[in-house]
Amino acid sequence: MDNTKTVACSHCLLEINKNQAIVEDIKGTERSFCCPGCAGVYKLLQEEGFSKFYNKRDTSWEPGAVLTSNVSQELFVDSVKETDTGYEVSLALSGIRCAACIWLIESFLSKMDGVESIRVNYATHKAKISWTKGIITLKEIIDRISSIGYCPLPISESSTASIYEKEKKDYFFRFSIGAFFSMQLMIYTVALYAGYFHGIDSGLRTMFQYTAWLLATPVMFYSGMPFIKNSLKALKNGHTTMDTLIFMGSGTAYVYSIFALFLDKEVYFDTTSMIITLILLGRYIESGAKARTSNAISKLLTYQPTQVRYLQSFNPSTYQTGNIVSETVPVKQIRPGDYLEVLPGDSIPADGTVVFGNSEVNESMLTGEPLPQMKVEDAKVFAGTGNVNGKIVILVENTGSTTTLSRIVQAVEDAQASKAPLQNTADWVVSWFVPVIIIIAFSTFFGWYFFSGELLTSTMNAVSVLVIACPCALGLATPLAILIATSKITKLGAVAKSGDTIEVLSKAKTVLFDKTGTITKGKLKVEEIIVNGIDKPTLLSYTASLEKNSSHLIAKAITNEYLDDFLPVSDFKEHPGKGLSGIVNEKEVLAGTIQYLRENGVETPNELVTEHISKGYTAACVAIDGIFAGFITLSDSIRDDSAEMLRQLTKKGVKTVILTGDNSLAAEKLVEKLDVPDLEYIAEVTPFEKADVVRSFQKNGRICAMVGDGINDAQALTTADVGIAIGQGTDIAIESSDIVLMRDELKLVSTVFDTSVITIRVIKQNLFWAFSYNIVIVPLAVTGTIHPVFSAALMSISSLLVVFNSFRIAR
Amino acid sequence: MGALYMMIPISLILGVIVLFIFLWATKSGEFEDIEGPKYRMLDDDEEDS
Repeated sequence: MDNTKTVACSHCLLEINKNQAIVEDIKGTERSFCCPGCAGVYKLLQEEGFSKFYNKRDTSWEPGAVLTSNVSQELFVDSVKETDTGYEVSLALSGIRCAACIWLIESFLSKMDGVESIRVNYATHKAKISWTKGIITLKEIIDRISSIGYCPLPISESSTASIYEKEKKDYFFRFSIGAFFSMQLMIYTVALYAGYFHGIDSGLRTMFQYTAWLLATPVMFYSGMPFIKNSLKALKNGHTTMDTLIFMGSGTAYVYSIFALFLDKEVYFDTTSMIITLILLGRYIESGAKARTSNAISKLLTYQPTQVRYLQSFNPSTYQTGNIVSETVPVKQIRPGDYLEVLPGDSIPADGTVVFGNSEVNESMLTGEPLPQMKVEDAKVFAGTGNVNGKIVILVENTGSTTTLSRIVQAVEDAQASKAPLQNTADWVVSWFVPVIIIIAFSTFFGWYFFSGELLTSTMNAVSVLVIACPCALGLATPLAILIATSKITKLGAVAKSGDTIEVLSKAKTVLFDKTGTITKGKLKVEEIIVNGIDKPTLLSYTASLEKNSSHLIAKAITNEYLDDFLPVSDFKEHPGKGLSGIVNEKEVLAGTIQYLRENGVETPNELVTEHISKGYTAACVAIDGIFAGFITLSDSIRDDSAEMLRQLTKKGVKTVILTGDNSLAAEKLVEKLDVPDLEYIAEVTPFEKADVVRSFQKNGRICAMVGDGINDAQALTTADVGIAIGQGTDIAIESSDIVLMRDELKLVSTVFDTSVITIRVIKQNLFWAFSYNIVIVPLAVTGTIHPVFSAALMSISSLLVVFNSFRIAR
Repeated sequence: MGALYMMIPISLILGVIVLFIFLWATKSGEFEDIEGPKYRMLDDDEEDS
């Protein structure tokens, strides 16, 4: 775009078309804004003396319009606590983009009379506010926060997030205690090793050994408790997992060392505590990722209004004369059969049928369809969707948990519960490794007992087989690689909720993509201008000047394309669902659907327009002075990095498929435009069929990943072996997925995939090293000819190999 | 050498005390906002809280 034609919003720094900017004179300086919200916030900050905010914020501020939302105080009722002098509330703040934002919120609220304290957490964006009774109310506080463009949200307590939060805390305590004792333990272990070579006072040696025992005990039984519990649980069900191996490795080393202590042999308490501590670190980081991405489903509340306009009775003629007046009641009281009035700009509170009026309804959050749908009488409307431009009355059919929105959430939860985990490589290795080692240990015991007849020597040799065969290397092989991969993915800009996901993703043979909002931006853009009798710039200038007055999505897209000065417009009229009319530059201009032009007696080339529409374009037809002047086609623009990302995946031998609700002609057009070899598409998929499509791909045993962003993708994301959600997408999509792209870049899909492939390769190499060690050392242990220092050295070498090999992932 | 028999138990006891102080601090929310202080220390204008 031409630089002189764009201007940055004074508040949010968003680059916008100069023509669309709201220009206001503030304290003698002309300021441009991208939206009324930004303008309002800017003025408020100037008035209250907070303009320092603009100097304070740094490059971490991301440009983007701010919203001043209306948040009901009822959402926070449960989180208000009474204190000695007043009340205290904890809430989550959305819209914080940089450190200056927190400074602004804190100082802006502290200025308020009655606010005792406000503290915002820089990391979690949760705020704790306390205020004095009687001076201000919660509502005033909430309104003040929203007035500067931040949205207060209740902190969800009952959701899965708090379970993960608890898990994370639990792991943190177990890890820090484990780490502390392990560090202490290493001091005495090193001393013992040094003593082995250089000689050591036997009294000190005994003391160091007992100290090591003392220090390893809490690690084994407190930090290691999760492993003990999990392996016992798995054993009860007759199988072995990674936890079994960790328990066996640490447990046998612990027991062996106690015996060794009394038999005056070398102790291995360090093995016990190091395995447990390192693996706990991995678990802790993993649970942190889970907690970060799963605080969503209760946010659904924010889609649904808490207050509704209730009509006692309904009759079209009496309503029109204004004899029925609505009253405001809480949404909880609404029952099927009630009549509700929905004003423009409100969200629809329940599923129902339109009985009066017509309006365009934005259903994008439910269907993914970017254009608002025209709803006339008898049309169905759904809870949570947004009423755009007309007043309607609806007859309620479903409320609360029976609405389409709630049913989708329910379906997602069901799918999550029934998702069968795929066995990962480590568990598979463990499932046969553990029995084999146990058999070898028993054979050793019986063999030695048979030949030597000494119970003690036989037992010690059998246990040493167990200790030596479950080395750090094998325990670390997978968790360490997964841990490094997880942190690398985080650095790239995505969050993997569990380590297993990475492994599953590397095996994905098919990746399905949702079209709207994933492959495309979900925003309309002018594609082509087709003219009849006049030149393109003229047609655009007339149309854009007219469309400037409308807030419709199509109008906005057309105005955005036009960068010159507007022509004078008078007699502007908007006809919902049809188009616009007005006098532009003294000429009568009509712009809208082809039907609208025809209704007004304009002759139109129907076939040409229909051809474009059938390709998936939206066409805005224009007539100037009653003569068809041409039309402007618009479509949802493709993300800049979509094609590149798809090509990368195809190169790796992954089948890429696009799912779309459009007809096949439009889908074909899209695929053509992307120009990626072997890209397939499935057209006319309704939002509720997506999960079935995923299942059909999985049927042949193929592992299938799904990338999506909308509520309508949620079930498919859960059903897929790996669900990948766009971070800017809806909360439910984020909740249902395994990987969340925190940056709005689609190419992360292919980079994360690459990382997962490398990770699996490294895991396999790690396992190979760990097994090479076993092949050398187990025969020595069986024959009882192993030298303790030799085994310790080999153990360290194999562990180091695994560690360094794993670090290759991070590169 | 004899001193070691005293010093080691003492060091362990001190270490455990420090560990408990750390755990207590964590539990009482001391490390909940580790991002904040680096910004707050530069805000010299208005006292918050």
